[in-house]
Amino acid sequence: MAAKTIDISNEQFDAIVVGTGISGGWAAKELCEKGLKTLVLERGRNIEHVKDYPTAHKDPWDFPNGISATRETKERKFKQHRTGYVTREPHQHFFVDDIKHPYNEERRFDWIRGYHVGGRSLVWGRQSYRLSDIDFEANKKEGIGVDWPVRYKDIAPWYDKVEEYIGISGENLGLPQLPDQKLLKPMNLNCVEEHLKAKMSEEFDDGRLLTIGRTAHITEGTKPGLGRVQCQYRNRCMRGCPYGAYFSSNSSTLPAADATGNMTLRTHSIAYEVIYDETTQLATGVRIIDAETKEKIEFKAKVIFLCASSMASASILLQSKSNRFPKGLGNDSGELGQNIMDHHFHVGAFGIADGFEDKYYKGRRPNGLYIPRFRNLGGNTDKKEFLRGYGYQGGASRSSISEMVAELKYGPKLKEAILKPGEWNISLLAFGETLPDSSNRMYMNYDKKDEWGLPTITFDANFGENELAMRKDMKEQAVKMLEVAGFKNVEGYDLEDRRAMGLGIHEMGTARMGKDPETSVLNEHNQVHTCKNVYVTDGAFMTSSGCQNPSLTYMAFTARAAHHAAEQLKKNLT
Amino acid sequence: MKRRDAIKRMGYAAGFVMVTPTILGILNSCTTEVAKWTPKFLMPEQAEVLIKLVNVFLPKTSLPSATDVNVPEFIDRYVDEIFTIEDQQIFKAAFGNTMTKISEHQGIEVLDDIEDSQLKAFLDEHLMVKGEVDTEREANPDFKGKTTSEFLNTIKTMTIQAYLTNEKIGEEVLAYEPIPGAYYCGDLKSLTNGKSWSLD
Repeated sequence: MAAKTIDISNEQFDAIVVGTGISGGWAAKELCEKGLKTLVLERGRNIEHVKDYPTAHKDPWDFPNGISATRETKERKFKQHRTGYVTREPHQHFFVDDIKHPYNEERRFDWIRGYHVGGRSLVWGRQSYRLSDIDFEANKKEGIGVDWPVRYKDIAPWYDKVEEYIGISGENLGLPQLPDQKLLKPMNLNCVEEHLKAKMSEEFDDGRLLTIGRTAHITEGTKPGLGRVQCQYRNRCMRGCPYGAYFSSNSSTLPAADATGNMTLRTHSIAYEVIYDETTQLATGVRIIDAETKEKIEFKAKVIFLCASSMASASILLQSKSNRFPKGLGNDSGELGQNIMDHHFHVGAFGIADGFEDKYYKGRRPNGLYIPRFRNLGGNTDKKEFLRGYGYQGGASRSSISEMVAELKYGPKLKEAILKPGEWNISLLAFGETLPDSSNRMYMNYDKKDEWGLPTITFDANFGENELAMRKDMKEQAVKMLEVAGFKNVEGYDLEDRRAMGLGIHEMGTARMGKDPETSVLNEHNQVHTCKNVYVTDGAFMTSSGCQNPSLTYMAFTARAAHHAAEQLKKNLT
Repeated sequence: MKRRDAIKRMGYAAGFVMVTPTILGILNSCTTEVAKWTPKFLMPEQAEVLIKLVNVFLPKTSLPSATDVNVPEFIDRYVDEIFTIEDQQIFKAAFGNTMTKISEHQGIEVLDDIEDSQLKAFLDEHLMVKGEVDTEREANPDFKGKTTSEFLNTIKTMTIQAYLTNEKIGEEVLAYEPIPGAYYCGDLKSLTNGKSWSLD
């Protein structure tokens, strides 16, 4: 799939998709497969599957300093480095330069981005869970934010479709809070995780369960795309997978879109405005700046899909000002850019497992354990201290050098100890739901412009009382579970310095769906209420956050919205 | 997609295609002599001491010594390219202090020809391991730099890290499996003969 460089400025497209990540790839595939001539815009460079994964086969000794992040990278990518891992040498090239791509913070916000074809679908965490009606109904039931205009039955078939296409491995549990999925065979738990699972089912009567994570990896058979085959358990996913074993736009959806002959992919294209026509009350196209030449270009189309990521799509809409929409396209409600949510984490517990010294594992599993939400589901699961719930991810593994190393000064004995595996460590890391709150917001700063003369984003958001109250329980229950399993040195933690929003890289909610244009930006089909040929299908549409990793939901809503858009176009043509 | 392209992709997918040969670089031969190696960060006399020190930590046995796998170059480059400027300054100052202490301890001015036995005597007294108390730290709890023991432990840790990040150790000494193809639990003895995996 080659990026186009030919002059396409006079072409009339059926559809424009802004962004090529998890959502943009799905929009491109679905629209192209419906026969729509589609222009796909990506602000960064092209990344061709396999060819542009330069580090995929490198061992630590193939890098000058092992996998450590260099000082130069840490200085250029200083906000990305707040994660502590994305700046490491094997994959730092998939994350942005913060000096070149600045943003502002009234309150700290960690905006972790990848500007290239495939976006963060190349580097995502791959955990894939469905939302349930417990999630879709929660806002209405509790009077928080606005009600989702969608229920589980509306989106369930689209989850099916997406899951069957991309491949997700895992185990169905039949839980109302975590619907069953179309799953490939699960990866294995290791012996220490099996021990914890058995102890949990003996010791708790509130329904809490341990399972293997549901992850977007092929574990049996193949999937469509560019030669997508089974996971090889190398755990080098963030470098790009030469087997196409985990889902990315680059290996799966974009090649499918390309194969139709209907896709034109233009890279280095920074979309900054949707063009609005006051007479038809519809959008007519998109304005971009060529990132390399700095030329401004307009592209025309009948329908626009914004899939630029939650913050970037909101930014484009905020910049799309007209007489009709002085506060930005579709922003009659004033909610555009507000209600930012992320999952709060870096809270949980760890411990050491004795009695498994003669056990080890083969392979490097790109996955961990999962403990689905078990709070506020009725009966003895209800907590009065907070609303909603959380799940745990984590796992057990052996440290790669013996603890003897700390006790030995030097010499042959020390040398022997560094070659032997150490203790079994186990860790539970909670991911909690965040409530929508209009004071958590982003807005455009027209005083601070980037090198293309575009306004930058200012963030002003943080977690609230409900999240902080939830964190106490997240820590306590993690400790409790590890203790009942008989692990030693169990310690709970809640890292206060890592509590900023954005670090979960699940930022969402800036153009929420709702029933009422007065209080929301998008309708039940992801259309801008007041400009129906503009669809927003990235994380911006989320009305509440759930505690599940959200990418799968973005894909399902995108596929559904693309289907709707194609139907609408067909109706108008006939 | 053209058939040839498809076959090529499948080759990648099935792991048949040879990847770019690993960059052997410094690892091909033993070059750790100051005469052949120009340190990027360390002073020449510090490099001399480092060469001796890393071989006290990890001496030659049936397995290569630290200098056999070029640990000193790795440490020097790591401090140069990875450390923050602040950490570099702390490292430099601590190295200087430690050199002075070794001189005083052993009553020798030039450390170029220091014997392993003299370094061991110094480590026995100044490198504190788990369970031992660093009196220098206790006397100066707010000191921003590194105490002698902290610095020696830094060198020890970096020596181990560099040794384990070496191609020969990673591929021939530790259990090495670049493409495992599966994940499951088993007996330590039968899986790796008691060794760690080199990749994690």
